[in-house]
Amino acid sequence: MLSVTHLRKTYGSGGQAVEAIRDLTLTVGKGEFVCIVGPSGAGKTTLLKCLCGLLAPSDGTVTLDGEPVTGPPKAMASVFQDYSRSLMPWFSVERNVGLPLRNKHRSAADRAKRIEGALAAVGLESFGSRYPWELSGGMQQRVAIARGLAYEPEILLLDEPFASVDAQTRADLEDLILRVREATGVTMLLVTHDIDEAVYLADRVVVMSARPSVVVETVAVDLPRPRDQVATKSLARFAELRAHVLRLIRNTADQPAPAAPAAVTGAAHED
Amino acid sequence: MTPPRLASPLTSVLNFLLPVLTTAALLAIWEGLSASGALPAEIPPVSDVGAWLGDNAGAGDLWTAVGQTLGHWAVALLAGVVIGTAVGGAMAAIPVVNELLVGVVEFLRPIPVVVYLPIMLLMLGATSEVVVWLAAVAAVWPMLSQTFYGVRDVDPVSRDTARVFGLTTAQRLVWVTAPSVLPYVSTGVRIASTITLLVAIAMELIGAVPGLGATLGTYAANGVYDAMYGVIVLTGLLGVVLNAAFERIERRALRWHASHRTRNA
Amino acid sequence: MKRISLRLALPALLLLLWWTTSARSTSPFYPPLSEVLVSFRETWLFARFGSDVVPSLVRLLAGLLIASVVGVALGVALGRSAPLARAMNPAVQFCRSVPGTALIPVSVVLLGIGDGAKIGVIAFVCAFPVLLNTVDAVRGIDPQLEDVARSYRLTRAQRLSSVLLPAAAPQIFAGVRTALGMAFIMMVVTELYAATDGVGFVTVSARNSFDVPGMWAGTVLLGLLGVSLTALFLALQRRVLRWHIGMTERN
Repeated sequence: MLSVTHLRKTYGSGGQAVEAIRDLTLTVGKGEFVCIVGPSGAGKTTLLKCLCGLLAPSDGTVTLDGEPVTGPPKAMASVFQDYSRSLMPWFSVERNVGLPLRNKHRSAADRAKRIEGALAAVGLESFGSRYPWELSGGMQQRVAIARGLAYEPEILLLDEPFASVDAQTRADLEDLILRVREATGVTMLLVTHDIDEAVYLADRVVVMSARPSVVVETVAVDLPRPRDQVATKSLARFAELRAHVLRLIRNTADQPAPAAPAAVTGAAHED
Repeated sequence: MTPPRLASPLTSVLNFLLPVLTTAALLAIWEGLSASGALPAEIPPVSDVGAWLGDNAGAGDLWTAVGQTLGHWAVALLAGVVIGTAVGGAMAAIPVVNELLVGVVEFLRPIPVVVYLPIMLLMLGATSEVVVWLAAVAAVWPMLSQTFYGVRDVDPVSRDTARVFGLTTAQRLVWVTAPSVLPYVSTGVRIASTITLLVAIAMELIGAVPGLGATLGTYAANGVYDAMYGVIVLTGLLGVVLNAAFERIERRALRWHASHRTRNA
Repeated sequence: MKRISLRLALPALLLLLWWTTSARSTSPFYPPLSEVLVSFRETWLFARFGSDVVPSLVRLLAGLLIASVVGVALGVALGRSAPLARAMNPAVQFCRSVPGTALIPVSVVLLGIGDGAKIGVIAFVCAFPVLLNTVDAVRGIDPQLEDVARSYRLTRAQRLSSVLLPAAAPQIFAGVRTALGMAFIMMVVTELYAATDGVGFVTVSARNSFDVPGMWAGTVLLGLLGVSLTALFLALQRRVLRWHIGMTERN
């Protein structure tokens, strides 16, 4: 179980300090699918970096199965937003997927088996010897997902994984993620700015406010599984949930967080 | 190599002191090792080298040599830039010229000019002209390829736009081609300058053609080591000054250029 | 076909011009090309190949190899550590600005006229283009790739060999290419200045004994060596950077 308590993250110091995250508490249970949505400019990527141990929080704690996260944990894998910058263009698809396995599995045969399995899970079994840049954007992101799966994590973190692909590919990848989760039972934490995507995928949607971020509300998604791009999105309940989340985001986008005094504005850069 | 800048006053003091103190420490180590006899006698203490430079800062001979080398460098660079830019531009713009010359250019370019030195010395003697000619050939190659790629890299959209708006050939050359070739040319000049100096000094050294190279050779042959290092320090300073000057020019020429904008962002 | 004949036209014409003008030449410094070729065959195929061509090439390649290893190692260190880069900046800028050929007398004074001095001075001079390009490349590495490497818990050695060095490889190769040109200049000049063997040495001794065709033959050989080394290097680069070439062509 991943648990975050009173997480705060500020960049810089003194008068130039930027408060990205003010106070965030959330938990992700084993096997759960949680989506975090927030308006653009919320500290979503900052949050993910704190969760996967790439950034140290300014305050508060992150624990995975009771162990505090101080560096990237073994039981966690990440899929990054920009596939073209997260795969190594000098390695074939196989080597990209296999690179992180070297420290987990000594035997080459073991690694090969896992690479094959992961590529099969994302439907790329015949593309192992290609270079990433020979593939389409959607296929590259599938390679990145396969890399995460081959790592055999307990929890997979996905940072806006489908933001840079076209709409059709995006729907395909969403369904791919749902199938993978059915098959493996891996815990998923996905960050997105797309409300439809969040509601469609998640068991729970955590709505974040604009910077400095707090949790506005956690919405339980009681839509039936398995989900389907047409059937699920035609349900009246889907529309209700979607409208509810949208309302929360629009209300928080323009104004600072509830408990905030004169907010620190003028953030240096979007992360 | 321009290290990124940091903001606060403390760090800017540190940023200033760090290179100064490190350099001072390196020089002190040299001095200490040499004074203690840990270094061979052929490496005099840095203070001796400094003293020699100080004593000779007013000497006419040394400045004559600097002037001769700079003269070789300047004429050769100018000739190389003119020839290289003209030929490179013609090859890029006129397909027949390219087809005609590419074979010769591709064959001759990898041949370092010092290869021709013995023959040139034999045929023409150890003269300034030989130094200038060979150094100019060395300068031609970077200019030629930079100009070639620069002209080839002119954005086809802006070229078409210029044509649509009815600009004459001369106007297109001034307003479209020249600005986009300029960054390439200025990079070429910087590279050519370094090579020209390197080659000029090599030829002065080998051919005993008057200049810093020959001065250096004389001091080395006669075992006047503080002077030998003094001359090397001088050539180094010359290189630093020329590099800095051309990098400045290049930055100006590149200011609007995309590759440079992103790097400075 | 027409293209190829056009490309070969000028080289052929120049060779023909050399052949005819030199055949009729009365200048002792400009011997007939036929004599140059005879001298070339007698000297270099392969009488003095092992005794002079091989030592030249060994010195050049040894110097270049040392320069590449040292340049990449120091370049990675300086590229990763901003304070270190700042501290060393004046020394590096000064050393790379000294025209390399000016250091040849020093190398002879310190190390003599043997292989050590030549390899040493070639390595010193050639390290700087590699070093500066590596520093630039390492600084320009995409931070997201480093996040990937860290989040998948790659070890330092793995990050270096699988991320840092491949990412920097295109720029490193550009630096080595520059260094190769300098290494060749340095090799020739060290042999012209003081040596007991090597192509440059044979060429300059031919001059001293007024063996003019021998000098021309040496010059031709040096030219051919320059051309072949560059071609070999480019072939190696095409092989190692296949991914980069493929990726650039695709975009």
